[in-house]
Amino acid sequence: MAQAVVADLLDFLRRLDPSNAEDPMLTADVDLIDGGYIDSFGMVELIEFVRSRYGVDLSGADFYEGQMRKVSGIAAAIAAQPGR
Amino acid sequence: MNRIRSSVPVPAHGRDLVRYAAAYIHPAVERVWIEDEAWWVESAELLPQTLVDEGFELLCRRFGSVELPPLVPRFTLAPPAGLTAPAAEIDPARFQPSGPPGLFILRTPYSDLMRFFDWITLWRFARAFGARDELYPNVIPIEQLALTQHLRAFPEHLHFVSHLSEDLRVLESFAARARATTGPVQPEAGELAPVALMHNPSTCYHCYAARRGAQLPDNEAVTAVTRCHRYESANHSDPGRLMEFTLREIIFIGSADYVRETRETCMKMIEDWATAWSLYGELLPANDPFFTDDYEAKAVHQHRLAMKYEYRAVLPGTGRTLAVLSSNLHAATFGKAFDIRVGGMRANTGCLGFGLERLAIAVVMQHGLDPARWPEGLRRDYALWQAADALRPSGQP
Repeated sequence: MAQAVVADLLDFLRRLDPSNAEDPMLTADVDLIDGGYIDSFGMVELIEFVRSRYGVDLSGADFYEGQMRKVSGIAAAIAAQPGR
Repeated sequence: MNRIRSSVPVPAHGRDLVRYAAAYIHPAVERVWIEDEAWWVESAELLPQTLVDEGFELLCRRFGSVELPPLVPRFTLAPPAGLTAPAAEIDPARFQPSGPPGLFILRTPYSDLMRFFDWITLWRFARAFGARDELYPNVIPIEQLALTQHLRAFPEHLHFVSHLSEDLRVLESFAARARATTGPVQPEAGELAPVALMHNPSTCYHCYAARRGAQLPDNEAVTAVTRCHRYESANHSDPGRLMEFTLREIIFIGSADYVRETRETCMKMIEDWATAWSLYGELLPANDPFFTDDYEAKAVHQHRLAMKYEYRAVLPGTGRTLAVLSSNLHAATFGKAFDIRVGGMRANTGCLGFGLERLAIAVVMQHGLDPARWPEGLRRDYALWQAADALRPSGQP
């Protein structure tokens, strides 16, 4: 499950920005902000994607801190939601 | 002079940003202020109430809805209680207004101070990072400026550069009109070539553009000084808000860790330098006045990542402060825009920028023009510069 979510989120980020699409450095454990893979608008779009895809509300999450700066951390947050 | 009171309520937040941006409501606006909790505008011609109110509605919606945490100074050097008036006024005969507000001609001792300040930023700051010197044009191609996102984030600041079309009929016609008058001649529709160049609003943009598509072998520090342009309308009447100014920058390009580490080092160096010079002020987090509808998202992003700090120097006797330098982190914004990579990853960038005219204003107002009466650290650095300057071969800049 977790691997599938990671792959899904990476696919979303590649579609979000054409310059991400061919970037081999975009992986589950790269820092999305430091790597320039997501900005303030990307965060909003990611929240909407997760809500529509998984029914999980991450609007209260802090994407500037710790593991939430990585795809692997976001996937873990989705998996940790009650009922999943 | 015409005065008009807007019926739009003054918001609890973002007042300075609204006041600043209200200068762009109409070209005739000359002054904007708050009185009795209402917006007031002074203008060279009578403005329609609806135009003024619509302007304030838009700006208050954009800037007044964003509540950022209070600004907590990272460092404060409070002025002595006795410093209630400028040690010296800025002499308009030597810091001379030239044409429209915001343009100045500097004469000695201000021109000397500018050279001293530029040298000292190299000596005290750039040298410590092994920054390599580069020389940049004062104009920048518009397509490069577009990649920085400056066109969409700060449209109000843009200064366009063009020339008459390469067309002999246009040149003859323009010259004939110029001969017929001693006044200015405006180009007619179609006479100007499309804009290819812009006045550069920030020194560091050239640094990124020059590395477009580069795979850098290692982290890099660069330094450069240019004359920068920002059109700020009626705000140019604020002290120190120049239309053309001298910006010395130290620019950091590399891994995210490298850029964050150099930022921390810069912060400590700023504290040491301000203390040594007794340059009274505060090192404060700051936000850029992004002019577009995405202000809130950008401001929160900038704040959360502590992307901008300014050293705001006290201007004695005025109740005001003036930002004399800023330290900026850009994350991978420019690394991505210009496809610059370090170790395979998109480069992160940061910069430390000194506004040299503003520094001159702050130092003179705090400590006067007589080096013999300056604080010891400032006096010592000045003597060091004089010695270095004397060693320079004659005729060399």
